[in-house]
Amino acid sequence: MKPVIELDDLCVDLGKRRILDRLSGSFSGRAIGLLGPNGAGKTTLIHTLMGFHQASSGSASLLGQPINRDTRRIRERIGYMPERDAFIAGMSGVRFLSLMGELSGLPKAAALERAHQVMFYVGLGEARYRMLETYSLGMKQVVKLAQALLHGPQLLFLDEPTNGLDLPSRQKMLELITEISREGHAHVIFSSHILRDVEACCEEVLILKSGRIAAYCNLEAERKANRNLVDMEIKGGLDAFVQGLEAAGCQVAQLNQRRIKAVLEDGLNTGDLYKLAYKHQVQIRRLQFERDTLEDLFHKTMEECDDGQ
Amino acid sequence: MTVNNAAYQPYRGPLTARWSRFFILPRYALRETFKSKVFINFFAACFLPILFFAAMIYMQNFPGIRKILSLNTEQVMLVSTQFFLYFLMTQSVAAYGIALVAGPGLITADLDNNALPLYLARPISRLDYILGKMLLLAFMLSLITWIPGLMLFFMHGYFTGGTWLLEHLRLGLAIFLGFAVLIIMLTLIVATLSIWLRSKAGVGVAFLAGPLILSAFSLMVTFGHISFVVDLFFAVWSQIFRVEYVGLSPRFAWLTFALITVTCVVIIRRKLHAFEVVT
Repeated sequence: MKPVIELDDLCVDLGKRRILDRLSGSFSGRAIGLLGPNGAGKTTLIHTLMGFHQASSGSASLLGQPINRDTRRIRERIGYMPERDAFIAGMSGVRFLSLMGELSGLPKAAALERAHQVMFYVGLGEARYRMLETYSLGMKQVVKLAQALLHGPQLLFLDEPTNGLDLPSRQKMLELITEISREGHAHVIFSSHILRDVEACCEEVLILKSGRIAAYCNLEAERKANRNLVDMEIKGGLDAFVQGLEAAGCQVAQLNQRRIKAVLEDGLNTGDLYKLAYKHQVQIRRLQFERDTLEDLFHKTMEECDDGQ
Repeated sequence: MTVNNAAYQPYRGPLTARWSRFFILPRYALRETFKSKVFINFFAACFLPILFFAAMIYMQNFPGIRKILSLNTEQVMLVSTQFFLYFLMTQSVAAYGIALVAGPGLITADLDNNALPLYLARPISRLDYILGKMLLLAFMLSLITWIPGLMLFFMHGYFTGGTWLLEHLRLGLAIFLGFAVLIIMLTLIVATLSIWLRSKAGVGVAFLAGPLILSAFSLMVTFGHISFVVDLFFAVWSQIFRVEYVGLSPRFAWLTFALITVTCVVIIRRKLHAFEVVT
């Protein structure tokens, strides 16, 4: 897959402060989560890629095009949903979208038609003639997503899209984002500090800390790497069962007299575990496959960074 | 295609030419501006002096009308350079009013609601944005200034015959240039104040108070008159129209305008960004 974002020693200074420090990498996922604590540089990275800030040194490319060359052409291919409340007062939802569509290069009639379609798609069809300033916070978030989608971008930057949303609206927003990226309509760069949202929508995560890349990983690969980790609660002679597991090639950690964690050898499945338990006359009272959550990964990365510093 | 189709489909149609997108912002802003009935009435009132001047031209060229209205020649303004200078002054006041009423909201509304990132994330530049907004104000001002001015000029030329028109072509150019200076200064100052102050009320107050403050400043430094800003324009117009004017020198007025223009451009360049960076 072609890289969506390529960074080559990208540095960004705002005033006298270095915000992004020598970022390098090539990112090609359909949905990339941008994570990091406050002040890590997530929004600055998005703004720099959008051309709002100038790179102090280094370079970056979006969809194979350098960001500092023919910015207009790049902007025809990307959509951006800003973090803060942003709208044009005195306009109805559909007129606002129509304006945004025309500015993106859609002919007048096509922009109006798309504006209606996208308003229905995001669930604001009934409110499309209402003035934007009368929209609720959730509706304003959704209309921001709609304006980013309208012109059919190949890459969507979503900066904290679930900010301030109640649970149903958040769920709806995440569903829309997932659908857009999974259906292959657009690559999505999803910046958020809500790990669960990123986990729900993204295949890959880029974790920033203090303006540097702390980690970049494929969530699915991480899950697969951990899928053999099993947590078991045993009743009966534990020692013999542990020895049996070790003899089968598993790594075992005994947590207490009843509980063990084991990394299963490839090819060993749940059925084999029960057969082994029967052989050693123990009962498996609870069995749970574990995987690292994004939260574990995030904390682990943050700790590693702190240790490194 | 039905508009309520729930599935999202990316747009794969043709795109418009890039140059043509420059006119989208003024077109939308024009419609928003003329939503206000108060503004429409005010704008319509700005055309009344034009009717008065048109009537003067008509009466000068048709003695029969003067006779019906029982007016003698002295009671009707003579169409001359002075006539068009009066027109320029009258419509300048109207232009100032329009700039004061319609100008501040054009940009501050976007800044108030953080709309700049939405515009600038699209294939338009900061320059396109600011010129687009200024173009709208310039267009509205043109409708009540140099366009009717030239219409009056050609109307008189038509009534008097081709020779007057040929002899006074320079006057036509002066009408256009005189108003052009005014329009450029008004739109530039309104745009700069909007970007700088970011508040509609603030821009309105500054736009009203600015000329007074400049006049007070000119009195303090002894080179000025009470109506310093008006004097600046009179000095420039007198040079353009080639009439005598006792006051500020045209060179000083041009230099002042150049200084204001440079200052405005610098402020716009420094302050107009998608996001304000606090360092």
